[in-house]
Amino acid sequence: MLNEETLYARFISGELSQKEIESLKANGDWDKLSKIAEFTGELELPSFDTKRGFDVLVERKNERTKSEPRVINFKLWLGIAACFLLFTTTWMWFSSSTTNVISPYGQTAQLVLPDDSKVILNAGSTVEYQKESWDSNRKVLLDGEAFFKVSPGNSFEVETALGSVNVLGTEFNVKARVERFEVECYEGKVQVNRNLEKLTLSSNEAIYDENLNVVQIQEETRQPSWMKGRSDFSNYPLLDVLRELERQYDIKVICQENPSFTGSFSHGNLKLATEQISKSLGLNVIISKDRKEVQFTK
Amino acid sequence: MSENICEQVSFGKVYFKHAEHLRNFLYYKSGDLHLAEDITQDAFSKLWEKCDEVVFSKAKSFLFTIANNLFLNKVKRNKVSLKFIKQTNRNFDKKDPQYLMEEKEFKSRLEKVISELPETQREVFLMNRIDGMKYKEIAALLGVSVKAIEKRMHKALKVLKNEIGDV
Repeated sequence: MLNEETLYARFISGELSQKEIESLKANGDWDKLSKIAEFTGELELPSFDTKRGFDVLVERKNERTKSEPRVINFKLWLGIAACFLLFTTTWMWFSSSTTNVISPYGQTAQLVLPDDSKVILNAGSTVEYQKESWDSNRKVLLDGEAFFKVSPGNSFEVETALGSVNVLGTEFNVKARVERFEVECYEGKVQVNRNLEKLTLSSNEAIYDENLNVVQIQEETRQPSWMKGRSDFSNYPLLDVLRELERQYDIKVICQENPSFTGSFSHGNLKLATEQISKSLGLNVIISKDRKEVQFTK
Repeated sequence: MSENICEQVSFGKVYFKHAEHLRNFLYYKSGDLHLAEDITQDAFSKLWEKCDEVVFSKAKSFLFTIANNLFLNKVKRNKVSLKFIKQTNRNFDKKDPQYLMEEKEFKSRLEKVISELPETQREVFLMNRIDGMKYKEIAALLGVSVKAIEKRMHKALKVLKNEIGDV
């Protein structure tokens, strides 16, 4: 086969054709590769102390500038003073303003907060926080869906339009989309506040619905499905599933039907994803030529 | 509009965005964490020296190229032995000790096989698996085609699959 020499690479990026998937499954490679992908996806390196590294660089640079002999004249000094003024004002402006991180449709984004807490944003999401007062005010505004790995410390709050989550050091996922407010806690404890109701989730517990019913999640689940390159749904209205499809692929979806859907779709291969959704519901799919619009019909 | 990276604020942005990826990249090549961090710092120093000539959007590929050159000139190639942290499962007590042992075994074999991959395959594989970079990004940073990256990735996975796939 022509593409044989990139086959496994495309397994990882989710770009295999249906036929290739079937042949991998048939000869047992699918399971082996899945295990390797899963295991290597969880590997990490010790983190690099970039705060210190940057200070060292600044110091190095200052020393270098000092050691360079230079003829100093009045004009130059005036210039330096003006630059310095400009620089400090920009710095102050930067450091006092709110920091925004946005992941556009079709992409995820990662950020590391000043205390080394990590946030990974699913497609089409925004977080906002105050960098300068972070240590005294660990609060993140979230619109969309994100996974949090919080460093131990003072209270850490995730505020959304639909409710808020308070935590100490822990790992959890918050989904605050127009249609849903969901929280999955993988480690530690989180407190969920919604519509004046408060409840505490322990590790491997989650809420998915309006009534804040606590559900057990599988112990093996250490991450939300979207971080593993797919989106999982259990008894979801199809239209909500399709909103997620729009966010993952930066497309427009048209659909008149709204049955309930249980299953998942992969990220990284639009055709495969639409088939995964449509097959089980007996729907037909039309993908426009420019791959910007998808229609589901009966 | 291009941002001037000579300014400390912009330079800091570039640094905090790319320093860890660059350090990781150098670790995959050398297997030496200290060396990787030293070369990272040197590459950034070079970038700051040349900041007038490099635009913001090109900073990342400049850094990887410089770092790669520094690495090639400085380092006598040794056999590498890479170590990783695996996100630990904290519910240890609930788990079957047999399973935990097998998992540990699997991890150490994995580290060994990855360490023994040829450098070009190893760096591509780990830039994708640990840094989460897309093949297109890796291709741009290493200055080769996406197809070449996919081939290296395929070969790396093939070795891994044959060596440890059935554990």
